[in-house]
Amino acid sequence: MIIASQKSVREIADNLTKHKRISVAGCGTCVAVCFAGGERESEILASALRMFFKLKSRKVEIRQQTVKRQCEWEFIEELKENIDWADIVVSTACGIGVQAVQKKYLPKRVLPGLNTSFMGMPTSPGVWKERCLGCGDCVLDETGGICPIARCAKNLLNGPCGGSQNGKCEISKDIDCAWQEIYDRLKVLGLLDSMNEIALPKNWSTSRDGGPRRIVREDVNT
Amino acid sequence: MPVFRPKIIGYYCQYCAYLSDDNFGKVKIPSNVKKCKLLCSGKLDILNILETFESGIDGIFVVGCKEDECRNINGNSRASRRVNYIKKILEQIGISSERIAVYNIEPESLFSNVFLEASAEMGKKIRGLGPIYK
Ligand code: SF4
Ligand code: SF4
Repeated sequence: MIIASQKSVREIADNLTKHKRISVAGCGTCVAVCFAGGERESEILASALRMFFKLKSRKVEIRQQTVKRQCEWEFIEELKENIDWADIVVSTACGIGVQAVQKKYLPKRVLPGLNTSFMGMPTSPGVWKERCLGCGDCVLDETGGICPIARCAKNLLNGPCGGSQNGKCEISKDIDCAWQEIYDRLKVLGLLDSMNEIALPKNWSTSRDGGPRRIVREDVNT
Repeated sequence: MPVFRPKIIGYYCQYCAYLSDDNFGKVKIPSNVKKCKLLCSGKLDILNILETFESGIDGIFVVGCKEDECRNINGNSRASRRVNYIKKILEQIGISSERIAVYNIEPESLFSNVFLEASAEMGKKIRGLGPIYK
């Protein structure tokens, strides 16, 4: 899922200088699961903003609404009434949701409430780690299901590098060396021989290097 | 000018209250402190606390069990971590994080005394800070 963290309430509030009606829009999918922008978190933001304006003796009304997700047109349709009512919108979706809501409800302004960070998963309660960079040409079949692109600091396809020490990456003793993990995993899978195979240079045109990407499916297309 | 009497809510874990000899028995809690029982201090809810501050409560404290002695394993440390999160949000919006605090019961201390001390200490602190909204 997409992992995000909350912007400081202050940073958000500083952009709400003259507004009298604010709509806080939560998203009930990825950012709800990572406790950044779901129903509860957007209610927390709405409450914090109300207090902020109360302290400044500013009369500001705030409405809060969470939809199933903000990255598809049909779901953000439901936000219409509250967005039409508001002078400005704060979306606690990921960057995709913010862009969708902004486009749909032009010329109303939509501000981001989160910093969208990466594609990953919770590895223990309260800890989320990056797992995939969306390179567009998956090599997990060669690496025992551990991504060297997202999890190795140097995106090495032929690792480990000389900096791998006691299972940790040279950039930090708190970060596991992805290639140590790949080695250990291949061993479990009985595929250690594949460590001897040299991976050829990757085709990065499927990644960001080829510019903004799109996928077209003719069978689904209208 | 009338004397400022802060509105305070003291949350407490039912277990530290009941395990203590006298619960609230002999002590007189100041009338500006509203007692609020929780099933466990780990039931403390961030949104609920923020909305409580929003409604005009000047200070909040939570009395929980001693560290490592929570009946529900780590409810008390959860409460502390949630309070830290609330403190962070309060600071971001310009409210003193001193307006919320956690007190832990020591095995040799009486629950009622800790609650009373917390009431007095928070009362003093909040009087110094003044009302949450001017
Ligand atoms: S190899 Fe590419 S697609 Fe596969 S997990 Fe890694 S970044 Fe994602
Ligand atoms: S130490 Fe491991 S994870 Fe870090 S850069 Fe080298 S190979 Fe990659």
